[in-house]
Amino acid sequence: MTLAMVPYMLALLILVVGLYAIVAKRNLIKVIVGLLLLDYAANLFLVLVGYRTPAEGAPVAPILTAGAAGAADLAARAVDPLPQALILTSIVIGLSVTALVVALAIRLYEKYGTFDTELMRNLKG
Amino acid sequence: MDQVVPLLVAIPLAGGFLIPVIGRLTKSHRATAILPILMACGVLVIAVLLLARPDETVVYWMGGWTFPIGISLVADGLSKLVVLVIAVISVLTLLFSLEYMTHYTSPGLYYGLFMLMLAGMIGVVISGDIFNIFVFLEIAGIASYALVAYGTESDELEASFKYLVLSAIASAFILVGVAFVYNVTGQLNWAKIAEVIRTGGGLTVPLYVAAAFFIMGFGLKAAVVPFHAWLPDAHPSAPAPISAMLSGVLIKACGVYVLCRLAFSVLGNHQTFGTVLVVLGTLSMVLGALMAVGQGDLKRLLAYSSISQVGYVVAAVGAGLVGLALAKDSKPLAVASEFAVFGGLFHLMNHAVFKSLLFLCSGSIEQATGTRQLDRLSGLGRRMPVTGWSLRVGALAISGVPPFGGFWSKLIIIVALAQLAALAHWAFYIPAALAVATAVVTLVYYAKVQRLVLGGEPSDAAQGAREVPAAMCVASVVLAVLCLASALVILPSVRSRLVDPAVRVLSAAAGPAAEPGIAARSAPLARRRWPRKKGRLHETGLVHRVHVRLVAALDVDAGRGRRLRRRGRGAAGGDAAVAHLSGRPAQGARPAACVLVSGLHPVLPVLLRAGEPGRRLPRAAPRHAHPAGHREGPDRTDERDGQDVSRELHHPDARHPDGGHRRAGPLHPLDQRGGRGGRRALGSDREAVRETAEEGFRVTTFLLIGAVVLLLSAFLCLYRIGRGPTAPDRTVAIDILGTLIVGFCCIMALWTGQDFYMNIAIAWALLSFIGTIALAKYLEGRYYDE
Amino acid sequence: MNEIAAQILIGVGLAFDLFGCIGLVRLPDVYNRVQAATKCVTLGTCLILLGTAVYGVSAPMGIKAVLGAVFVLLTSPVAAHAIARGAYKSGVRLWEGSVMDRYGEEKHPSRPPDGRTEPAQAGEPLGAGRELR
Repeated sequence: MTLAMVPYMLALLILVVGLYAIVAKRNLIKVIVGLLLLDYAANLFLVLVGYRTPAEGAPVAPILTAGAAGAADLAARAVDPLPQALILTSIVIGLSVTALVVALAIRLYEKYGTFDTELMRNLKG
Repeated sequence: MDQVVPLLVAIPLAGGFLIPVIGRLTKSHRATAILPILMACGVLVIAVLLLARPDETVVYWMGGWTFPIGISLVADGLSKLVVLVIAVISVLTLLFSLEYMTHYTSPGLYYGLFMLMLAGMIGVVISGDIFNIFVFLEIAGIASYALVAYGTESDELEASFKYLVLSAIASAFILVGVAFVYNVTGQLNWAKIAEVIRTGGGLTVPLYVAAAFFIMGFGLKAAVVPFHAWLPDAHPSAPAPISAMLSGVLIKACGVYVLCRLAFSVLGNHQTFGTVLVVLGTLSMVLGALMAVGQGDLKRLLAYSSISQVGYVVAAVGAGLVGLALAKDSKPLAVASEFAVFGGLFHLMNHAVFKSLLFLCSGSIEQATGTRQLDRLSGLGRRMPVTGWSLRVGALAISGVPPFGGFWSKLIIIVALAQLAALAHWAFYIPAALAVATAVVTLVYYAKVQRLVLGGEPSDAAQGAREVPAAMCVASVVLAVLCLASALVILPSVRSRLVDPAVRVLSAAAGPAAEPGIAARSAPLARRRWPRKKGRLHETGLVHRVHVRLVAALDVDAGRGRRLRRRGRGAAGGDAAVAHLSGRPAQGARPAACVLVSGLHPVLPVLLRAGEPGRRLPRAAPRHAHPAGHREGPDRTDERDGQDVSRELHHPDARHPDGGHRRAGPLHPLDQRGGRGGRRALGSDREAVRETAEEGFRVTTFLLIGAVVLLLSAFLCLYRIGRGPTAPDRTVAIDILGTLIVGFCCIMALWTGQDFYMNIAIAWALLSFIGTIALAKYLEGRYYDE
Repeated sequence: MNEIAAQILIGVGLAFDLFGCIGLVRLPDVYNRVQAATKCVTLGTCLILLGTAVYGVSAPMGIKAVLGAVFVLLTSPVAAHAIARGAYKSGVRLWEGSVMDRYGEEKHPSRPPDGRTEPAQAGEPLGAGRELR
């Protein structure tokens, strides 16, 4: 049981690392990298959730091979394809957010000349 | 009818793609604005159509693929209400932006992003699928990040960056929560998840973790207090119509609505979830209001006020959730809980209306005068009559002045909280009292806004102010009228069409108790529960009955609830008391009130005998004459859960209540000898008398030492009073001496067992404080050169 | 159990009280004394009050103790602040080993940190000055 938890724990560990980077880093780009790590960790976790071990044999990827046997084999041994579909969407969402945040960072650089958040403290939360 | 539902999302989504194209083709602001306004009106029409049959739940399966692989769009009572709110606000905001955005460039992009945000929000609200909610949430979110940064000034970019980062963290948490839920249930459809959870036996640990992630994620979207840091920067930086949308609908559609869904429908009514919501909501209420008072920037003040008002909504909804969780067969409690939920939803509607009105007015003011700083604005009331009156109406409405709608919704929330306090748990008085106090504070800062902005002589900035163009005025006026008209929602005819279906949806989902849970699975964790401090309360009659009821209603955590539920499974139904108490095991966040109550539990019975002063320790009460002597063994403590259960199940009669003092049912938490403190404080055992004698001695020695230490410290203070070269030195020493005396009074109180000394302590602390302040002020006023 | 917890809390509170008063006697300067003594003694008293509440002799006592603790926690720092402010405004000098005087820097950017003021002009008070008010 515990051994099977290791991948999940590692995914959550990456989540924590990403959080740390967002919270503790002064450089905007590093914050963005932290954000990416966070997204990847969440996606990874979701994919891991889909893993299942079949009754016999090794688990296979959910790719349909030709023929009727292929379908039966798929149903019996494939890992859950739904989380994989979900993370495709999620990766695309992450892409858009990344594009936007990098654009913001570029604009901020144009305004301030630096990526350092300490020097940008215009706004007081 | 169900073919219409996807149009709610499809129309704005299409707009999101078409409008930037149109924006490129034409240079005119107003021309690009026509299509979005039409689309928003279309959405509004559909929303109103859906409301024609408010109780009907409309389900649309995308692409015709039904369960189990299909994705559904569901429009039930709650969704229809929120969609209506979104539609109305967006139409009026678009009308406002017709004129306001002429000061910005790229109208095509603006309206395109606006439509995307609208599509996202509506999608969140009508989605029937938990991952779909995430997707639409992101659509709305990305559009809102770009819109907050729309002006591309440095402030706005920074605010948008901060908002984006925090919101992305929240989204990642939500995704992890979705992963947990999928892991446990294997479903993504709301309704199916709810079903699986209910039949599968309540919440397990992964679901608790998922709930925690969801609270963090959606709490951030809703800007409840620990997660509110992005809002005071993001909302002021956005263009005014976007601020109105963000504050008015986005935080509610993305945050509060989803929390309601999760809490009531999906995860099952759960006391812990509700209590967490109440606590967070109350915190938001108070902190938002307090932080708003000191703001100098109009829009920032409004942003903090949003946090406060959303706190009202969340607290009310959470209170309703707790009430519904506790109210298994108690009709008044169920009614009170529904009332609380109604108040929360009503306030949600109201706040959308008046907050967007206030933000639109602030936009008008900013356009007319060029500034948002309160200290540079004054005397606008005469220059801008329409905006001025709209601002007044909005401020009065949000402060809760009758006859505007805000008064009614706040009143309902406060009354519902008070009712829940009376019926369910006294701790609800705290949010009720804080709600009243916050309403007063809200009135204060809005009165300040009105006075500063509208009264007096026109300031420099206001010299050139003229009334804003017609479109903006119309939007403001319509919203102001709505502020007044929303008071009509309390009328039964209006209410039954608008809000009651939503309340029914939520409380029906929350209604019947879920299966007694995962007690077995969570047993190991439960063993480390808060120790049950029980002793015997052998008072007979009324006091006992009251105490029993008090304890039963209050004790929401662990062993007791879980144990009772196990008994409930053993005893074949008809066990009213068990059913009444079968709450959820309270893991994770524990309400402060319960901590306090549990901690004071040993003293609760004594509390009920509070008329007897001057007793040092509770006297050993006579052993309770229990029929047929099935007293458990003296070593029956919390650790022996398993044994307890088996004993209970095997001897159902053993827990038979004695006489009419206890409720029907094998309860009795009071019968069991509890943990450590309980035995001591309520010592009613044979050994207790001897124990107390020994304890008394130990206590006295300790207290003696304590008194000596305090005297020594007092002498040091006296030394300083004598020696202190300057008057402030002496003042410090006097202050310290005063505080020491408070400690000394405590020692005396413990020594003699009379709480009279505590009265002295409190009074002395007060006097000492006042005296010290007086001395300090005196010092300040004079000088000396020692 | 309650009793042991109460004893620990009260004991620690008493220790803090004692150390605070020792500080009151030993520290060289009003500002030092205010800081050390008030902080320590406030915490000590709050712990004593909480210990009383935990001990649970009777509910009214417990509730009053908690109330008292909250009150002391809220008011004692305010009082200390008022004293310190009063002391500064009335011209008490910092200890000569002091290395910084932020409050003075804000008010009088040119003043050296150990609180020495410029030689007093005729008719001017020696203290931090009326113009600060």
